[in-house]
Amino acid sequence: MTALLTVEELSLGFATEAGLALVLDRVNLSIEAGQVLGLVGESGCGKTTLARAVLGVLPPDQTRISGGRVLFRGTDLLTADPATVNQRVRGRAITFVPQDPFSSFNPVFTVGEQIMEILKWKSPRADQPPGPGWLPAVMSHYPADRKRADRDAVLELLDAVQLPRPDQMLRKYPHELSGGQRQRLMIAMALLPGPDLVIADEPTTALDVTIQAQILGLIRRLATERNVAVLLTTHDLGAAYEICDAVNVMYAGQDVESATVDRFFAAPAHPYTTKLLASLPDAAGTASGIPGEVPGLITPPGGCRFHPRCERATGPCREARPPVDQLGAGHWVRCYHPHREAT
Amino acid sequence: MRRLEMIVSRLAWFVPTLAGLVVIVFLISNVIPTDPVRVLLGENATPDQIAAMRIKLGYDQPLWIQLARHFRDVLSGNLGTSIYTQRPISEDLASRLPATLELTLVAIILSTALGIPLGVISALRRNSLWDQVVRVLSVSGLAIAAFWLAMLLQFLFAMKLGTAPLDGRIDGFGPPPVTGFMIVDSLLDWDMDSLQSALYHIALPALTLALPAAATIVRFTRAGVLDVINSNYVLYQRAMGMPPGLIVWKYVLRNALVSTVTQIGLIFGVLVTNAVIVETVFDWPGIGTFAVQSILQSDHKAIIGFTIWIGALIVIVNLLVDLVHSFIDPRGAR
Amino acid sequence: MTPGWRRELHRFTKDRAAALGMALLLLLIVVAVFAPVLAPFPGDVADFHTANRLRAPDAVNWLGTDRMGSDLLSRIMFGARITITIAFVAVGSAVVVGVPIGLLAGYYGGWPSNLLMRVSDIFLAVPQIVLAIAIAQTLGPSIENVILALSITYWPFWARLVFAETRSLKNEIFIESAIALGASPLRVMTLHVLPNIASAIIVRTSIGMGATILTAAALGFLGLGAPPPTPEWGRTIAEAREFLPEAWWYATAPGIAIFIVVMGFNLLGDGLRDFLDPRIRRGAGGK
Repeated sequence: MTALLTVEELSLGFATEAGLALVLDRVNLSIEAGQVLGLVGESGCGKTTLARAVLGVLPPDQTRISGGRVLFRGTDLLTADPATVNQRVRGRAITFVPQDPFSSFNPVFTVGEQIMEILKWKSPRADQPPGPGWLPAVMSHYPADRKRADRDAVLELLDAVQLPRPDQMLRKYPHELSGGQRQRLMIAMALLPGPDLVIADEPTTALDVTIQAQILGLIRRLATERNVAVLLTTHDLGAAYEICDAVNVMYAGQDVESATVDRFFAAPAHPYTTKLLASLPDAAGTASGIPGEVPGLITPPGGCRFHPRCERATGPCREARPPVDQLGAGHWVRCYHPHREAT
Repeated sequence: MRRLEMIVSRLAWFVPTLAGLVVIVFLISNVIPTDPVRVLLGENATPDQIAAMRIKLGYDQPLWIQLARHFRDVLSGNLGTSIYTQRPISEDLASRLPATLELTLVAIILSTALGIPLGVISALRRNSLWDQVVRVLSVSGLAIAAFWLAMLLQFLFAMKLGTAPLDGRIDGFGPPPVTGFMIVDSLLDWDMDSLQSALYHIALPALTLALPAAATIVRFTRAGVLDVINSNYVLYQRAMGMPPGLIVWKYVLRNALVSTVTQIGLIFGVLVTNAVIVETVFDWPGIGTFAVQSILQSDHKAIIGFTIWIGALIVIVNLLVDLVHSFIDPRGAR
Repeated sequence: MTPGWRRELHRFTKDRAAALGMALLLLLIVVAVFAPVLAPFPGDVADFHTANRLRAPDAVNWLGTDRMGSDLLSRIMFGARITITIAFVAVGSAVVVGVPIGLLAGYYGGWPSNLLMRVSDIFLAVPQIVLAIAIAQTLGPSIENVILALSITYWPFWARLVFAETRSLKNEIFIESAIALGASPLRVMTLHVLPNIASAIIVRTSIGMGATILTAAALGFLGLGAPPPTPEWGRTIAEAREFLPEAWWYATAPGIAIFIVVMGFNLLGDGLRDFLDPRIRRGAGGK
């Protein structure tokens, strides 16, 4: 069964003033069609970088990709023709729900104009972008009949994301809407092109707590209805529990564990994962932290990057990255001393 | 509705601002130890002559009466009589204003035509050689004294190379004055000779004003475009595979221009004040030369009248710029 | 303390442009302070030798002579003194007056503060030089009057700037807690607000000096500065006008001097802004 998206041993670094920050180290990830995968980790663990690598929007002058592949339906997005990827994959097969819906809308255009612009170029009703290829994009014409059909689709989907009075909403400017409304619009915009995979980068972090659950629920429901896969990055384990089918954990640029959501919460294997779960406040409200600090990425620890903070660390942990250890169906871990289930 | 509110509140501030300006200018001229009457009559005036003139000019009255009279005069357009020309000052200013305005407008057009594209390209090719050169030039442009640049350009192009006329606004009598703008009037009259002469004459003065203004515009445009390029909404469009040309020419440009337009309002103020000085170098018959002449003649009332007019002009332009800004930026923030 | 500021200086001078700006300003200060020693013909500030008038630059007079036969280089060097004096005193007094006013108005609020700010707005609605011309012309031509005219028209800028910053800082938690802990207004303003806005003030002061020098030169050019034989740079350029195009050095040299000095202040100001900015964000309790 070939997965929809497979990230294979992806390594990349960012050039900074202080040196090369090794942000991703041989990361692996795989998503099936229609699956909701949670990518979990602390701030700075590389989950947003990984999401952006799949989307192809990392800053070109500072990014150094040193190895690996990003396979979408068998094509490596990193080496394929950029123009084709831009036209066929981005905004069509793979779409994006950003973290901050406020700053992700252009402030001087109405939301309606921006939504229709996306559909003008990425409508599922059109195979080719509008206008002859030689004409600059700014000047190409939006065929009237397709525009009408697209607009109907927009109103329908705005309804589906539970936005009241969609036609009036389209005439508004981003600053006139609430955070929750903007994010619902973003979700709609991500689904309008009829994608196979939606990359949602911390979609609820910028929202009020009361709205977060609603938005997450909406994403889950729509994904299941339309059989759309979702890559959800988050630092919130609760969110992962609520809506994900499977969870991948990252630490300091390395992937450490991957499991279905049930096994993840029932039998976590990696020491980092167990500590992460233990750090959630329990019923009595007590919470424990993880001693130590996240390492800098310019000179990261060798081998398994968690070893300085791990009480199970031994010699091999410091020297070489642990290989993938398949613990069961849909559950692997990268650790020399994982917690094994007592059975 | 919100826009209407904003317009009304700005207009409401317009009046007190101008009124305050008149008061301040009045205070400057009258609450200071030097005796304007003595200055007017010169060194050899006798005490009797001075006393007589004081009464005649109303300087013997209490200050607040003088202020009230001053307001009355200003509102009715009476700014006194110029020592130099012996004509009412408001007439003098009115007849010369079009020349200054024409010069300023041409300078704005030149500086934006030069500055905006340079700023955009500089931002798009950040840190390239092109960008470095443009940045050095724009920093230099802000350090040059306008009057010195005027003399320099005049020296180079008029005196040494002979490619531009030395001074003045036009050769001969020029077209019949309809708008007071020689370029427009020449076109209206279809007088090609006058048009050519007018354009030749305005070239150097406008260039002198345009270069420092262009330097500022380049800086602001570059910063604005860079800001936009690094914004989350451009990231979103890139992630969704929008055509790159579309992103730059429709969206980035529009956002960056919003801030540039506001800067143009600021630049207008700078341009007008530089124009005042640059006019003298080129003997351009605008309100600037009038002001300088008045300074040389110690013509007090003329300077005061000039200050009020320039102040009013700039406040009006800033109001217009705010209006335009509110139309192109829906956030209406300022 | 010593190794601390040396290290900071080193870090600052990594920015070539900023280092250049600093160098240019040091040059200005050295020339101004040591003019009597450095100038080849120190007496030419007042003396004149009409037999020598309008000589092109040569081995004796490196920048040529002016219309009175005085050595232009020496006069420019002495002119540096005037330039520095005007810049420092005018900007300094505007800051010294404007910043406290802004602090008080921003801290206390209320209608007197708002009225004061409206008055400042009126001053700021008109470009500085326009009002400065009116004031200087009324007072009469002298360097002191130029300085006075410039400071009177400049303090509102600082008052407004500091007012806005103080008012927004006042809502920050660390200020509220300081007040709740019983800090007096003076303490809050000097120990809490002022350090946070100090960087902005410093950067703008440097750039403001450059702008002030250009305005002062313009006033000198218009004849509103000191009367002859004061070697003020703006006035010298005005004198030189009638001798163009033959005596080109006469007009060129003082203009280049102005350019160098203003560039110095601008580069320094830009460099300070880049240098201080990230530290503001990392600073304690700050924005």
